[in-house]
Amino acid sequence: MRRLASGTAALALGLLPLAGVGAGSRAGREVEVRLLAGRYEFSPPRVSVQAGDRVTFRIRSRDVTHGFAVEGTGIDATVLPGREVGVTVPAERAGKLRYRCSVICGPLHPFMVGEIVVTPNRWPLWGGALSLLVGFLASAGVARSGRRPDLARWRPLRWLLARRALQFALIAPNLFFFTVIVLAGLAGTATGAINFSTIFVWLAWWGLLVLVLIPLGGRLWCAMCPIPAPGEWLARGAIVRHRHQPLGLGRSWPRPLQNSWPAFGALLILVLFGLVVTTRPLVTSLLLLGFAAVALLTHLVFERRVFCRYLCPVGGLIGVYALTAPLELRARDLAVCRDCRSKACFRGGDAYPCPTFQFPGGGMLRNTHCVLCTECVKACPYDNVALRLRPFGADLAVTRGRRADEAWIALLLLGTALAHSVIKLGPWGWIKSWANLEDPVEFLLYAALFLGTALVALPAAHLLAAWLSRALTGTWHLSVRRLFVDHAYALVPLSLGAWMAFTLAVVLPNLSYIPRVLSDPFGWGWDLFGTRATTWTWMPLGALPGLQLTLLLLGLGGSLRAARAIAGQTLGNPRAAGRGFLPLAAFLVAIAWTFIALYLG
Amino acid sequence: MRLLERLALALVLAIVAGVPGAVFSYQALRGPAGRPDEIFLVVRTVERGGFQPSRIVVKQGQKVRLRILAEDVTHGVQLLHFGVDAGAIKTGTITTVEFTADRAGEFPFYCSVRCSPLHMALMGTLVVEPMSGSSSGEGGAR
Repeated sequence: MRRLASGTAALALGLLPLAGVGAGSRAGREVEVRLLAGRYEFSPPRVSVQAGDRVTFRIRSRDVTHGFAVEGTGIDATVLPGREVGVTVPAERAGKLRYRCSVICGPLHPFMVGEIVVTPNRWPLWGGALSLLVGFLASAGVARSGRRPDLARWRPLRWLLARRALQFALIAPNLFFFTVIVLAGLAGTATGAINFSTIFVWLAWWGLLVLVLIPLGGRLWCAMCPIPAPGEWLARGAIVRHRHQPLGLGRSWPRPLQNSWPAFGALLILVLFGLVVTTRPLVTSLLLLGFAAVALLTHLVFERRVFCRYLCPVGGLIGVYALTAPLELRARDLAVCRDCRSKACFRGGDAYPCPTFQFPGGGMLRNTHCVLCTECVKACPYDNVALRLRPFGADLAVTRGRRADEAWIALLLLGTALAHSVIKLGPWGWIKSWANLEDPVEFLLYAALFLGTALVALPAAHLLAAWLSRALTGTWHLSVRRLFVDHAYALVPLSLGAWMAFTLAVVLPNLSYIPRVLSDPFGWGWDLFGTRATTWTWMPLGALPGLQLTLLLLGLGGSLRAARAIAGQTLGNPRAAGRGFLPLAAFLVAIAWTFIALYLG
Repeated sequence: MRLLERLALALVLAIVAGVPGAVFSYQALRGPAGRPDEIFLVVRTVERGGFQPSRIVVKQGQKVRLRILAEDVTHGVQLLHFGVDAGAIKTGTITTVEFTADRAGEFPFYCSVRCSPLHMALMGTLVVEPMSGSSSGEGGAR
């Protein structure tokens, strides 16, 4: 009888246009769940109940002291070993409730989460429907031409950009943070959650980078990054001023490596060991020192900033996403550049030549390698460099300069966003311990799984979509390899949206660590600002699912628009492009839905 | 420009050398102990070094203030002979306990919250030196 009633209720709810609205009104059951907390999982990892139920967890610890805090609520309990704790969670609204360990229990503590799925959970369903809707809207939309106002026309900014000291002023504060980070990793506590290095690199810096700097400024971070600075200063023999005789050897970078494959390789290694790197202060510190050492060496031996241009894995990542940024540095008027004799932006003149071998005056069309160091602004004798605002995703439609290495970075980043979402945000403890290098065999299995997803399965699906595009349009003369590369650029906005959704879920619940490590950066018991005992109230987290869905849908919209433009270029005539666009669009919607199901389902 | 260059160089050197210098001198001068009569005790699992210091020496009659930091996971500190139980000290937090060392001898203290497979081996020793050797006994003795 009761089942029938709830069945009818669920059926009625299914007709409602919003997930779970009004589901709380039904008188619910009392559900009791025995929960075992252990490093770094709750068992069972997922519990499914009905909306309106009251779930009482009887929690015991398998090893050390853990906590149990439900995101978006004030519920927080401590689970001491040997003592059972009872916590009641009212499951009012349909959807997914996440809970997490709230007492630092080891390196992977920030990723120890569990899920309560409150049925009828229609988030994935509606998310999928919205994806399709976005799909239709985005594919029907016409490309805007978009005005591109030149920020450098604004006098105060132009004055600022022309200052030689600008870049140093940006780097200096970050050099300070870099020094504290390295010191904290080397000398501070090995507990990642209370060490300045892990928290400031993987929470504060990564959060700012992915949520603010990349989406708004593209490679803006590269203009203020302290890692290549010492090498560049030594090679130039100057920090601020312009010296004509550099001190470095100035050899040219080997030709076979003049591409983004080295950065791809470095990025692959970094993300493969991502869980270890992001939770161990010493590893974080050594990684940054290693970057700085490689940058120092390469800058002294080779000309310009080869580290940033060819080697830096983060540069590879930012470079691909910078294509979507609404900011670009370009020549203002190419006619002026054609008549320019000195080509000072590329060869150097009153300022240094472009450190990443770009040539604004030669028609630099894409953001990928422009690190916004503003040397060309200072070098140009005609004041012909513009810093423009522009529509999001503008560079994705630029045909010139599309390359396989960038396409593979885009695919790797998408696969990594998926893998890291499963590993770090998912409730499954086994994959966390596999990825945590606890056992070599298990790590190899994890590596096979990770590489299989990011380098085989996902690219294979993308290749299939490219092949279908060709088959549907009958354009057999086109190389499928070309389509594979070109169409990969359409993945970029969606994967950026996915990284933003992922980062939000990592950063928001763990924000309270920032005031804590500011007050006690090394875990030595300091209390510089009186904030070492800050405990988090889990306030803004109720908005997380909605924000994640929004970011994914925005990413999908951007991807579909880019896909439409790209298909138009690769497949020729508009009617063929409309058909050829379909497999790519289906692929994109499927990926977006996978993320939605993972986050909200 | 020359002045700016020198300033920049000075700033870079100040950061690279000054930050470690400032950090280590702050730790050495002030340290984590808020007051000079405090004893700072760091607790780690046995696998990572155990109590630090694992041997605490005080004088008989001394009023002892222990400031205890749990460094890696949640620990507890029990010193049963003096009725001291710090309770569960969550990772990264500090608990302060006070007691008067009114008996001379060597007394073990333990971790009271299971912290690792070697939890039972997490032990330290409190050494209370007898009155006679003390010249500056504080007023804490009963």
